[in-house]
Amino acid sequence: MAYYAELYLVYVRNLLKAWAQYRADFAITFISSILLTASRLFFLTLIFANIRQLEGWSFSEMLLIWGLMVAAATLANTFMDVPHRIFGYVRSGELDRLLVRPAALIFQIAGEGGLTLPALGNVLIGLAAILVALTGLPKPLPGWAAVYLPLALVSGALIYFSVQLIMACLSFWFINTISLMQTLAWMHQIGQYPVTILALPLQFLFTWVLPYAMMGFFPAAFLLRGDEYRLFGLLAPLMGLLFLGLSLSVWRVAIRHYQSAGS
Amino acid sequence: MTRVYEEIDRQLGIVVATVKQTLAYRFDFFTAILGALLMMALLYYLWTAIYASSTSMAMSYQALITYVCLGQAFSFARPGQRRILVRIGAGIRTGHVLMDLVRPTDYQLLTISDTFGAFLMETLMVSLPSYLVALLFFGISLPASPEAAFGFGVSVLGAFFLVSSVDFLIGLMAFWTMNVFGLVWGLGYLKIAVIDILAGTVIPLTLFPDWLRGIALALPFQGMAFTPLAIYVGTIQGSAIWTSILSQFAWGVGFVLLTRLVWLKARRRIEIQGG
Repeated sequence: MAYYAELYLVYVRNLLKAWAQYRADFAITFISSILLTASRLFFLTLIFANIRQLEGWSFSEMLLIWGLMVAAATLANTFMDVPHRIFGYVRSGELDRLLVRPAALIFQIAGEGGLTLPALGNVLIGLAAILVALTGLPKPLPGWAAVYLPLALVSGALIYFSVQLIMACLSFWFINTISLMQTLAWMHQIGQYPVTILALPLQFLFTWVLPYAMMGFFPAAFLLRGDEYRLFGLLAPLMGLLFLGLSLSVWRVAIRHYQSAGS
Repeated sequence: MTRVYEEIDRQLGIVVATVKQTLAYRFDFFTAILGALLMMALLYYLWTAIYASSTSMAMSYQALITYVCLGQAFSFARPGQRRILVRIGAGIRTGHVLMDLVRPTDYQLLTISDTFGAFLMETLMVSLPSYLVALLFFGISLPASPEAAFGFGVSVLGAFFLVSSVDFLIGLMAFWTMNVFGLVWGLGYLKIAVIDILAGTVIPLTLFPDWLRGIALALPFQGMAFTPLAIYVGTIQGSAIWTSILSQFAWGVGFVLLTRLVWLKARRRIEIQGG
C-alpha cells in the first residue's frame, strides 16, 4: 500500500511538470470545461423559466440531483480517466511496456494519464450546486446526510468509472468501441432528471444496466422523500462497489485475451 | 473557366476520398444512430414531463417534440463534426499539416471539402435513418408545408456552411498558440456549450426568457440549429423563411471572409513541429 502511495506521488509530480510546460493549454481546457458544465446548469434554469416544478420536484431539489450527478461523474473524470486511455495503450503496443512492470496494470494507466486536472473545476461546480441546493430546501436534510452524501458521491464516481471500463474491455473482443463509449458517457446526463419520467424499459436500463440513476436521482430522492425511495436509496452507495468488482473481473478476463500489436 | 472546373474536380476528389474513408468505419455510423436515438428518447420523455408540468408554453406539444427530436437527428454537435478542429490540431502537432499545405489546392477549401464529405455521409447514414425512426416511433410531424420542407433542406446546408467556417476560424488559432490540446479539447468543449445553448439545439429559442432570446437571435449561432428546426415546425414561416436563410448564409460568408484574412496571416507563421 505504501509502495503504491509513493509511486502515485511520483506519477503526480511528473504530471504537474508536464502541465507546467503547457500552461496555456491547461488554462484554456480548465476554463472551457468549467463553462461547459456551467452551461449544463444553465439548462436547468432555462427549463425552470417555463415551469415551477418538474413532476413534483422543485428547482432546489433538481439542483441537488444535478450537483450529485455532476460531482460524481467529474470526480471519476478527474482522477480515474482510465478507460479512454486503454485504447491508446493497446493500439500503440505501449501496454507491453506496462505489462513487464511490477505494479497493477490499471494503477499504472491511472498514474500515467488518468489524472486530468483541468476537469477538477467541474467537481467544484458540482459541489457548489449541492451546497446552493441545500440552502434552498424548505426543510434541512436529516443528520445522517453528512455520511450518506459523501458515500453516494464516491459510489457514483465508481459507477461512472466501472461502466466505462466494461465498455473499454469489450473492445478487446469486438471492434473499437470508443464511439459507443462516448455515446454512453454522454448518456449519463439522464442521471440529472427524475428517472421516473422515462418509459419503463429505459427506467430499468438506467437503474440496473447503466445505473446512472443511482448516481444522482435515487440518492437525492432518498434524502428528500425518505421511505418512498428507501430500497434504491440504500442500494445506491453499494452499487458503486458492486460495479467496481464486476468491471475489474471483466478487466482481468479481458487482459488475458490481450495480444500485443507487436510494434 | 477550365481552372474553375479543375478546382471543382479536385474538391470532388477530396469529398469522395473522405466518403470512402468514413465508410471504412461503418460501426461508427451504427453507434452514432444509437446515440442519436437514445438522446432523442431521453429528450422526448423529458419534454413530455416538462410540458405536463407547465401551465402555459409558447409552443404546442407536437411542435416541441418535433423540434427536439429533429434537432437530435440533424445534430451539429456530433463527434464527426469535430473533423476540422481535429485535422488542423493533429496536423500541427504531428507536422502532417505540411502535407496538406503542399497539396495543389487551397488549405481552407481542402478542410471544408473534407468535412463536407463527412457531413454528407453522416446525413445519409445517421441523420436520415434517425429521422425516419423519429417519424415512425416518436410520432413527430412532417414539415409544416412544402415550402418548410424545402427551406429546411437549404437551411441545413446553411448550418453546415456556418459551423464549418466557424470551426476553421477556431482551428486557425492553433497556428498562433501551438496549444493544440487546449484548442481541440478546450475550445471544442466551449463550442459544444455555445451551440447547445445559443443555437437552441435542446431548448428552442422560442422558450427562452425574453432578454436571452433577444441576444440569441442577434448572434450567428441560431443558424446552427434553431433556423432549420424552426422552419421545419413552422415557427418561422412565409417570407421569414427566406430572410432567415439569407442571414444564415450572410453570417457564413462573413466568417469565411474573416477566416480568409486570418488564414493569409496564419500561413506565414507556420512552424512545422516534428515530422
